[in-house]
Amino acid sequence: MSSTHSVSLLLERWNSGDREALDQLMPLIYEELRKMARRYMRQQNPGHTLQTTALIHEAYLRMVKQPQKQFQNRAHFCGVAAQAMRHILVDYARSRHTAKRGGSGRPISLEEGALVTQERAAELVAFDDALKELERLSKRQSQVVELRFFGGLTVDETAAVLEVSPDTVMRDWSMAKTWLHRALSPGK
Amino acid sequence: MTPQQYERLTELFHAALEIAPTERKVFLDYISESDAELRCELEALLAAEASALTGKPPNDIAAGYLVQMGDCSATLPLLTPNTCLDHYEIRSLLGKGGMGEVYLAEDIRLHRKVALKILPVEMAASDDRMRRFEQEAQAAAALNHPNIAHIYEIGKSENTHFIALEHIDGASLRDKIHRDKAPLQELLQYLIQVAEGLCKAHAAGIVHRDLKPDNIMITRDDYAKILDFGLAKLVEPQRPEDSSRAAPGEAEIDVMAQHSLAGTVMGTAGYMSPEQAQGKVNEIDQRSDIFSFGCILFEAVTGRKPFVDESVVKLLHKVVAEAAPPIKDLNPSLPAELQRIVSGCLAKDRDERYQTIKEVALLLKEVRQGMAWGAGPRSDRSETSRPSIDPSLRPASSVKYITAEIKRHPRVAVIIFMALVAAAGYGLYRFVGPKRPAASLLANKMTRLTATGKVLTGTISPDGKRVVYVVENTGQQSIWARQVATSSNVQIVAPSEAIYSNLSFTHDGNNIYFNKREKDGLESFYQMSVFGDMPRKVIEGFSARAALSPDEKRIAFIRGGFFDSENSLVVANSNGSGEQVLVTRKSPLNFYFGGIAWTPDGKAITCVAGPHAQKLIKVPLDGSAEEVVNTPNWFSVINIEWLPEGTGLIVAARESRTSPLQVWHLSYPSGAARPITNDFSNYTNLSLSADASALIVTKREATSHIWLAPEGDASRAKQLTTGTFRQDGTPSVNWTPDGRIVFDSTASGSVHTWIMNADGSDQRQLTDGAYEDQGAHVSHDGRYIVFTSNRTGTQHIYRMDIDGNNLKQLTHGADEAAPFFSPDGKWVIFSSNNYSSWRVAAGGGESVQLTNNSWASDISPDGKLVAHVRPAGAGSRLWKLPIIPFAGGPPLKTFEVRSDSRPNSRWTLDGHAIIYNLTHGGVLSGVTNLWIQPLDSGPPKQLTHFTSETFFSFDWSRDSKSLVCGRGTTSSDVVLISNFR
Repeated sequence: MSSTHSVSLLLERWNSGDREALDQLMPLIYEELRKMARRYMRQQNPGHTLQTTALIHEAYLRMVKQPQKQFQNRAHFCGVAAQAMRHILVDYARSRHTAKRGGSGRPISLEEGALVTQERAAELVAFDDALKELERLSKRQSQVVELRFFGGLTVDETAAVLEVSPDTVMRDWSMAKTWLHRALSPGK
Repeated sequence: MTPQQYERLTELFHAALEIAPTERKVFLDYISESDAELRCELEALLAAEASALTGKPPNDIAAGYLVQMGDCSATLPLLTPNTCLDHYEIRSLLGKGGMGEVYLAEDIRLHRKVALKILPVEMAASDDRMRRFEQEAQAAAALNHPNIAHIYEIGKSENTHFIALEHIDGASLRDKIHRDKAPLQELLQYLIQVAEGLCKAHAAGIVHRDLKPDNIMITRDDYAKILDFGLAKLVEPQRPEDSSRAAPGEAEIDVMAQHSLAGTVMGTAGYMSPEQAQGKVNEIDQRSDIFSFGCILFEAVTGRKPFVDESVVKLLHKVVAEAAPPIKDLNPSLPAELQRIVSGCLAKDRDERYQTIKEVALLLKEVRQGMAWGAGPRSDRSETSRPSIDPSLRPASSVKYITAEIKRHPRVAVIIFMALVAAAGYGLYRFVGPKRPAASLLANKMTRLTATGKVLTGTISPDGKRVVYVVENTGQQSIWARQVATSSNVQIVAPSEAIYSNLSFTHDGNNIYFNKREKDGLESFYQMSVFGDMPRKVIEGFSARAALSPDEKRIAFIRGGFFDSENSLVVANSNGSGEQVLVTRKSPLNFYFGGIAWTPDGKAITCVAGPHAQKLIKVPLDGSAEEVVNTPNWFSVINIEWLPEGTGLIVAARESRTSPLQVWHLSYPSGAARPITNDFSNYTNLSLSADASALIVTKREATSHIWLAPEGDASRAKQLTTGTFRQDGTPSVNWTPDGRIVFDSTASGSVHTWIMNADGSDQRQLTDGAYEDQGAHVSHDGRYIVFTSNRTGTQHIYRMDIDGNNLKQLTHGADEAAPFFSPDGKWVIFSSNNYSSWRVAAGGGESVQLTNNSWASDISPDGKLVAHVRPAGAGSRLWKLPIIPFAGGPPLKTFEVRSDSRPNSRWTLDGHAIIYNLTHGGVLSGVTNLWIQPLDSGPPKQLTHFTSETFFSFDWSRDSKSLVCGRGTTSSDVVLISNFR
């Protein structure tokens, strides 16, 4: 059974009012998130498995708490999920960053210290800011980064989500990466 | 910058990348003519691009990630897929570690897969270090041992140093210990192999220096392979010969600095020897590996590392100064010898350690053997030592994932599961035990309470002092009671033709419950005093296995059959009133009736569900979500009993389709399992005393051989096959037209198709492999054999030539069994355990269902009529034999017979009668004879006059002169197992 196929199919059924489709969708959503989170965490630091779980749970909650959410297809779903991942991580980093400077970070359900270390929080916040600037300049390039970096998608998967060719994704990725790298380099 | 400018910048960036760096200036000059601002941006980007590839990592973490991650697919010049490094073509990135990156690559000269390790530039920078490393690695490359990953080549291409290693497809020992929670015996087996590999290396003067569970891979066929011999030298501090400057702390920091560089400090420090932790490089020798080995052994048997601390400095200090905790503290049930071995490896002073790994290997073998035979102390990795692991971290196979999902979304999971197993075999077709050495019986703790071979089932009283059991003799069953200690037997229910099952004591030990099926097929639930009085009917018309709640007020049971389209777990008052459905499951995920038990707190019911009774499920009574109980990857779980404290269960389970039912201790909730029995018999009908100090099980063994009886004359019958612990002709034996015999046999371990001459000579095995091939039937022209095989993992119908060649799968359904050819050879007819019959073209194709409530036995010589069989009622000894047109339509005739095992029919050559086998005298010691039933009514007539043994199969030769049959006995006794916890 291809989960790609099922997610799309079930989303279609759910959107057309089939309540049971949601029940069937949940484990599949969870599975998609799990894959994403695992890939994301693998980039972060090998061995952060428990944190992966925390990340999935948080993302899962965010995803399923949006009953009005209409997903057009799996690609759309992946995009939204990657966005959710990004927001969780960045919100968390911001709260840590704020806390460090004496502010009271908003409560967050992730285990303290689990996802982002204190010193990395600042960088992640800066990264998010740079990504926002990139979004203004090129929406698609920022989506490529979001999907690949936060969603952990491969080039081909990203291409499928954005409905462009893998070549385009590679080019966007290469440009965006370089641009972000420069934007974040201390000597800029 | 505007988006439009950015878009232009993107274009220019890609264009510039197409141009060699040396020639970019021309390009940039050209741009600046039109757009000076963009030129600056572009130059900065190109610089960033270049520095990302070659320069030192940027300080910024997020940017650093980006540089790292593109990477296996795109940017790093040498290492993208399909690029070549010397004669290796890169395929994909396998991993990154302290020692650099590892790629899967193909050796394009030898066309083999290799793991290509690329050494980090900074490590390869020191010529001296590289020379030392190369010396060591060359020596390691010369090692040739099955437990050492082979080093094919140490090479250099341009400025890249690499090592080509044997590519190992499998899991690391770390995964085996923590993720898969492999049984202790299995882990010990791996460690023994590791010790053997080390032994070889040490003999060659090579020390590993960085032995840890991550450096040991387990291949898919269970070989342990040690990786990275000698590589640790690369990151070791190089110290002057005189080590006097080694002030404490300083050396540790040195070690740390080196390992931090490699990014491996935590992973390695926990397994480091004290001499390594102190940076005493000159003192490192094979005994350092023995220390590391001891750390791994510690982790394998307790699930924890011997030395743990969040701070590396403190951790190294512990390695040097603190003793590891006794393993008994972490896992009290470990054999004392293991503690001695661990301590002997972990001595701080290397002179006080085992001096050779060989010694350790031998000791470990002894321990493991002791555990395997149950002679020595047993092992148990109890919950305390096995921290429970989030199920979502389990391997991401769909099955495991869904297993975890059942807890969260039972209904969804059922649907998905059904889709997954749609093609999966789940038939409980038949059991064939592999041959195992007879010497492995656990004699010291297993006591045979009966020895007649005629005891069907038993139960033990809550105080463990009395046993009540059912005896079958000449077709009649009786119930007996005996004291465990005195062995005096008392009959408490006289022999009759009733059938008894599901015996259990009331909690006060004065009464027993049981099911009794009368001769007429009506089954009821009874209670009676163990001292023998009139049984009292509790529920009339009740044929399920009732599990009594701890307060004895309620019963739980399965309503509906395992092969029905669905069945339900229900709870009722103990008088049968107030029945309430808890869960309904649909085929093939139906509940299996045999395994049902209340949890000790009475708040949930644990039961077994399909496919093939594989899943253990805990259903809470309060309506909350059901839980899948962790188990090893067993094929089926047949019986379950909870230990009173709820920390585990005793279960009867089958490891694979072909392994016998054995008794296991299953820890809850970890799912760690330990065998209590370990032999070739089948154990069922578990019963525990209240304190779980005594366990009663029924032990069953079947043997059958091929016999030839000229003209069916029992007095002239001759045994053609011999051998103990072997089943021949189960479930099939068949004549070829030229007078040879094709039969099923377990002689080679698993059941396979065999052929021999009619005098028993020239026995040859036609199929082979670690699966079951059975139910062989020869086509009427003698060219082909059809049979069932589970070689794809599910049971389908296959055809092959009479010599075993040209295997072809004919069907793709589920649970397909008992095939036979039509006389014209065009069709193959087969059945399924849910009593349906089918046909498929002899060349394969779509299967068409013939009947939905009967099993097809044989087709008439003219190909028009098929003899079928079906039970007249659930569990009854009455059978209907309908004769149904092959073309379809209602039965032409239906005969009714009585037999203790399923009768199979064969048509006579003239097509005027059927011959079937009837067994009388019980399922254990019943005697089978053949009867002939003319089609045009008239009474059946007995054809053969055997006085002993049961037929499992039979066939008449084409000239009607010789009867061949698979014939044997089943013995069954009650055994007491004590001291098993």
